[in-house]
Amino acid sequence: MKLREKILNYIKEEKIEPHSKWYFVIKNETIWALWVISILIGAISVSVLIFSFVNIEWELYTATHETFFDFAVDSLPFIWIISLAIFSFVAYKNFKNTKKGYKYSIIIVLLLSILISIVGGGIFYLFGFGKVFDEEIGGRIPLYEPIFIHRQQIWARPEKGLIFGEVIKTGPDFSSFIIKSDNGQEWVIEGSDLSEIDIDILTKFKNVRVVGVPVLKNETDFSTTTMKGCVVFPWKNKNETTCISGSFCEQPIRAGNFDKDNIKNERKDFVKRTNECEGVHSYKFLKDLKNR
Amino acid sequence: MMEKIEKTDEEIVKLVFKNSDFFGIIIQRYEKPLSRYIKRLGVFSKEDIEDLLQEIFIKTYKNINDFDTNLSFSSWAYRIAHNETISFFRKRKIHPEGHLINDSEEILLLMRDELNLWKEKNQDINAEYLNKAISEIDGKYRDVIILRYFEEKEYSEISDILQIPEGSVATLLHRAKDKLEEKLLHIK
Repeated sequence: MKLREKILNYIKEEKIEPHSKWYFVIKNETIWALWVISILIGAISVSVLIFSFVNIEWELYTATHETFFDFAVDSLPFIWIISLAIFSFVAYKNFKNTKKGYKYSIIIVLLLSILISIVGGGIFYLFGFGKVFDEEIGGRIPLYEPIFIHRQQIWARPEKGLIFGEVIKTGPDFSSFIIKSDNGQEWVIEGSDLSEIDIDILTKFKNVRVVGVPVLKNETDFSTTTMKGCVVFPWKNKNETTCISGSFCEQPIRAGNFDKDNIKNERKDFVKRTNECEGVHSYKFLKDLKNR
Repeated sequence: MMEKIEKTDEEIVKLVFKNSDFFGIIIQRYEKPLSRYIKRLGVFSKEDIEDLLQEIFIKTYKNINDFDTNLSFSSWAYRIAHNETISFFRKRKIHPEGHLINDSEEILLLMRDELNLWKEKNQDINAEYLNKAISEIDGKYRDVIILRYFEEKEYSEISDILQIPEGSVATLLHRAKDKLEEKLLHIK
């Protein structure tokens, strides 16, 4: 029997029918939908990445980490970088599986996928979704800390001399003040070594963070609630937009906000300070600040 | 019937939607070219070729609604044949072997013109060497060589058959010729 008759008989006997047009329409549309979803996840990743890069306090890394490398490893949102890479690749694979996708080169399709994700992510960020995605989606990812939570954790390490909280009581001339930390613990901060600018921050901000040296009761007892304050920075909680008064209120918290003239009017010159603060990470930061 | 056969493939495909018997014309037109093509890809046994052809045509029939009329039917049929043949090798866990010895002298002459090595040294083409070299190069290079020089397909058709960009076809073909020359040098 000729192949033609053999195949036609087989089609008839087995009642083989061509797949319906809808089968292919749904298949193709599903591939495009998956492409759109991949691009969307890529855009979400980009919006959180932009949000993270804007809000990572690059200027303060010397106060919180030993080296810039430690800071980068600890602070960069790798999960979103990986997510962007994975979903750009998934978008590429989906695009390649569309009817005409094979006509385009890998570079063009990949770059196009990343570019659309970047534009989409930029738009999401502009509308304030970067923070929303970081907290609502990132907050549900195991082992990932949204940026503000991560910042809180960095600044809630009294054993490293880093503490944040609300100033609940101040002594005369800010020689000492009490900070109530996030977990309700009250810390007595000795302020004798603080500069004018630190005092200025204390008068203007309700919530602050302090870099200092924990004052140990003795060499074996580490259960202290007293700290020698070396430098004070303003602190904004994640939803907080208000501060007590002053120009800091209108500006993001940045090292650049510190006025050169104010530095000259430091309450205590560096040479007059005790040497207790020399051991803290921020000491270099303070010196750099002074030299600006 | 003669009148129907004169219609283009694309016109016949439209008729297949109304009556499956028209698919017989497609089979008649493509049985020989596709048989030759899968043979060139390295399937030797007559039974295997027939089984493969049957699978290719059944698959073509089942997916006829997926045929993009912007594409030539020939490219689409070759694409199915290519994919089915690759699947055949994978399922059997075998590697294709060169089997081009029955091809015409014209193809061998065309190949000679394309290969700088032979052109420069003005050497006579040896079908046996050529077969051996083609069977030894990587599958992706062999595919473009077969489609370009043995099936005489245009770059755009090869792009549609192998589902790769046209630019990649040109690059692959260029590299394939280099690889082929390299192999021929070693064989000699």
